[in-house]
Amino acid sequence: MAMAVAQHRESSSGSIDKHLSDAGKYVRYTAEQVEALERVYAECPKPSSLRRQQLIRECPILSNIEPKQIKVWFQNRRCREKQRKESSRLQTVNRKLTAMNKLLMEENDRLQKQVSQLVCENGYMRQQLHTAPAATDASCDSVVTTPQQSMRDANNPAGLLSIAEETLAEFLSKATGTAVDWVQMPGMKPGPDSVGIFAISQSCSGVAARACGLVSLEPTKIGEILKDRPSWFRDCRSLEVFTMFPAGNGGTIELVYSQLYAPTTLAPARDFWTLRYTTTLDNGSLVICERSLSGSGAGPSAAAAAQFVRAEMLPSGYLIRPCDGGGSIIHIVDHLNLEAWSVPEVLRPLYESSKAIAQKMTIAALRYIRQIAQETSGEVVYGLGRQPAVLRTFSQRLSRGFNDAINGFNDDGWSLITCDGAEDVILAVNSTKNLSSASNPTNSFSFLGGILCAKASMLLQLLEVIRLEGHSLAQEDAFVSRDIHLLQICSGIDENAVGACSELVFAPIDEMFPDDAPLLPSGFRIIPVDAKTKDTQDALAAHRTLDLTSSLEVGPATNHVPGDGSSSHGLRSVLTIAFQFPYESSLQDNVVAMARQYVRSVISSVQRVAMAISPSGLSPAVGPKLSPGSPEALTLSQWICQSYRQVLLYFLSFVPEKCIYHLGAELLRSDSLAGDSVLKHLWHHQDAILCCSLKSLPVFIFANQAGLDMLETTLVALQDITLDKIFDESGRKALFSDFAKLMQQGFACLPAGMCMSTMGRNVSYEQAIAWKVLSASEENTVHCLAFSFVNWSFV
Amino acid sequence: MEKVNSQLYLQNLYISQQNEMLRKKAQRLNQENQALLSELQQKLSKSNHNPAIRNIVHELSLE
Repeated sequence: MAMAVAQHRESSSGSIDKHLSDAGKYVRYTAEQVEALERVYAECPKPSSLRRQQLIRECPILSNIEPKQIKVWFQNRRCREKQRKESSRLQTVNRKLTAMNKLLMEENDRLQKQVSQLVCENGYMRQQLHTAPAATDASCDSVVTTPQQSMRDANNPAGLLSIAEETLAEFLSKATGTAVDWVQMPGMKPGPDSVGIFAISQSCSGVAARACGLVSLEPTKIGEILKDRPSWFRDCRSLEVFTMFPAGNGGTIELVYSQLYAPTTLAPARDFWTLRYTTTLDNGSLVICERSLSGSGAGPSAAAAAQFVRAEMLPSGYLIRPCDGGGSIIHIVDHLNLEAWSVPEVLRPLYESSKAIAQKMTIAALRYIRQIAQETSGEVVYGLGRQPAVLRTFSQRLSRGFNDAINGFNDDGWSLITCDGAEDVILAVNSTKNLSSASNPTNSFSFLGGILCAKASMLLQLLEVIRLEGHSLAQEDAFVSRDIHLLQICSGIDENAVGACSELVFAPIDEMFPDDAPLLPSGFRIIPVDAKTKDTQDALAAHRTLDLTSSLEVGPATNHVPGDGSSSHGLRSVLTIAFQFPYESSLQDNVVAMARQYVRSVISSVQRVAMAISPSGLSPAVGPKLSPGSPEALTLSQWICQSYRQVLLYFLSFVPEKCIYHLGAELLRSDSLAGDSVLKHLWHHQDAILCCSLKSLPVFIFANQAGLDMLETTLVALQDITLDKIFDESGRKALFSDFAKLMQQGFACLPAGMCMSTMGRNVSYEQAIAWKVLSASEENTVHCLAFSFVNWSFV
Repeated sequence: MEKVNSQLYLQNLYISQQNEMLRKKAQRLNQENQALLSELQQKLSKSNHNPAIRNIVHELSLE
């Protein structure tokens, strides 16, 4: 309707100024005429006809217009006037409405913001209430992460700023000043390639280490890396910024809750509630310092609090000074008090050794940053055809998985199984962990059941730590053992790793080892516990080998080391073993039994090697005399440290060709028998090939897959089986009769017969071949006797 | 023009209703906030002797 009006108005206003002349054409009024008419209209918008005639008479300009036209003009004029009024009214209404609209919109925005702020604050409040450390409040669930949102922007709580400034001062005095009397770290040669200059504290409370190094990265980048502690500190389980405040001077203050894994199964893990202050000093260097908040009991004790002991971090941190040629100089100070008092007596040195902290934290941090610097600057080192970063994530996942297994936290889904009396092996079950990898679900471990972990820690009285070396493996090395591949990392064995813990962690993985392959790490960790001179010695005058897995003071006869009391200046170490087995829930109990037995046998063999290798005399009661230098001891110790493959390789190098010619033509026809191919053939050979030591008590020291199946045992338990045990009466008689010929001729063929597996099942074989195995190193000394049972089968 | 105006009028009406609703919600949340805060303050001060945390809570309540 409005549009129509507008139309009409247009045409009518035009016609007011024109009138129809007799000839039917429009004629326009002149400007003066319009002006005269407007003047009259102004006085009287509706003149009567009389008035109009008078108008025409008085005003010469209008004389030529007929009275009727004048009437029409005034009519139109009044109509236009009304329309103009109407539109202006509408205009005003419109303006008012739009203004109102704008106002409402602003109001709406403000309210929206306020509501979301309130909702956020309420959520925050509720979380606080939920996890606040009230004694009665036991119902809190998983660790809570709060939104990264600063509560106060204007000023920050005065209390925290003063603590932050104090921490900064103390940290700087340690990093560059003389607050702690630093001593050069033993064993760290400050050579050109060395990572940096390291020092540990001599006598200060707690453990402290300092490092200083040059890295070709910018300070802010370094700061970022160092702040993400779990990425470079393998023992750090989690780090969580609880809240963050901007400190007045442009720096930031964070309240941080972090958790560390426990190195062994004997003492609970540690957690920290710290204040972290990041700021830049006037000389442009970036400082990130951190310290436990007073009243170490406070802070968001997460659900797993019961499994953690609250430790204290004394002022520590990083000072990163940019140097002119690019890159920066980093000073790192780590100063912790790990509450050693709450740890079993024997483990205490481990929690009081600055060397350990230096190795695990300070040096690891610098080494990690150097690695990142090298990677960013392109000196890329390729291993296993994978990017270094991928390898790093693999090794991180491996060690994290191993630590998860050893610690077995409830909120990870682990729950303990209480089993029979002897608690030497701790068993834990985890049914929640779903390890199926997205890339190929086929090799996933997500069985119906879950994962069983059998673990144990024990102290080894050893003159020197079992060297995890022999053929020293690359940092990450995958190699074949039967059909599964083991991704393995072996760390801490290089010579400047004094005081570091050496680990051998491996996880089964399929050939392609895709980047997201699920890992189920198992392995060994040996931590040197360098006994402090005076106190620990008198506490342990009896020098019994302490089987720490169960009660502290267990000294069964076999473990007794009669070594001379005083000379045990020996370096002692804690060995932690953890194996993870995926299992189907239906098979849980026998997997549990198998796991416990498996770990126990590993422990006993490790202790046996410990006996063999520690020259502090051998009590006769301990099995066959394994003199330290003898190949068996070496093979044994190597075997424990290496995978099965190494042993096979070692064994094969001993068997001179001529001795095993009748082992089956196809096995040895290929002359290019070297390394893996011979090994694979031997290992998969359908004849049961066994090898037993030629000692007073002939014990089996090796068997191939078929051999193991025949005896129904594993390489681990193999060496508890003696030769005579597997032969029945007639078998034994046949063996002894041919023995002379065997020794003289080098080999002997035994007729068909029967033997028994360890489970007592009878096994029949068509033929058995026995031959002497000459050790490659010293010519014609017999290393062991090998047996091959052809076409064996269970009866 | 009238059409535009009527549309504007309707829109304004709608927005003012919405604002009204938001204002009520904000009020309710604010009350809840205060209640939670006092409960938190009371719980934290009872069991927690760490000045820093009490400090934060104190700061929050000043808002």
